[in-house]
Amino acid sequence: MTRARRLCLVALGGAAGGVARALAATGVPMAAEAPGWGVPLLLAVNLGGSLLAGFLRGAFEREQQGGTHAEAKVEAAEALLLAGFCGGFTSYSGFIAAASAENAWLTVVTLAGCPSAALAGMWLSGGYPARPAGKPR
Amino acid sequence: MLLALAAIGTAAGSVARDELVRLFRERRQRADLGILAANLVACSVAGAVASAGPAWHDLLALGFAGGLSTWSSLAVDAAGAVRARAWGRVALHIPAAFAIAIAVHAGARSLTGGAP
Repeated sequence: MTRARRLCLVALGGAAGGVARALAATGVPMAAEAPGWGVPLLLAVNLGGSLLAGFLRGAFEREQQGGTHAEAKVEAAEALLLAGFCGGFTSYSGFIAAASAENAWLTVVTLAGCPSAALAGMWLSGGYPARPAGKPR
Repeated sequence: MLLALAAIGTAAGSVARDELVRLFRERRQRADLGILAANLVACSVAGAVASAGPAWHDLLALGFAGGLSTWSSLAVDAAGAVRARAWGRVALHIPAAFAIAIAVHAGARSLTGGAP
């Protein structure tokens, strides 16, 4: 895949992810009515995005190892869905901006929860056992 | 309007992140450092525009910084580091990166006139 095609797919997926995140932050009725819901919604977005990303990573690894799909198709799907949509949907800067002493629970749950969600996604996709522990990525 | 600004900003931020990760992967064989760099730059942008008007906030903080930064790629990389038992990489990308990002965000915010 050419670099220009990859960047177009990343931009398209990123735009969709950004709109989905903005809708979650502003479009959900309870967030509009009570601003205090913004932080839990951001947590849900980051956990959900990490779970989906782990699932996709595991699925793509399995596809590449199984050789059931053309490598170019997997690469395009990775650019659109993983680097694009999941990357645009989740936000590290939003998490840092929201992290404060008042909601230390957000920090703890996010820091522990997002990698755990990604691991859970890999396990759900069946991609987790494919790479033995101790082997570098 | 908010959705349009968020879409444009996030698309640009996502492309910038992908290029940054590619540069680190090709030149240093460390894509994870590209994710770290993208997240730190995004935190500085978000801090710098924290006190900007709503349109700039939607375009740059919600959109660009949101697209440039990522939790999903970081989480997948951290999960891979856990699988590989690379605990140093886990420590760098989870607690250490968090502390640095908080400092970068607060520094950028205070430099541009916002409360740290």
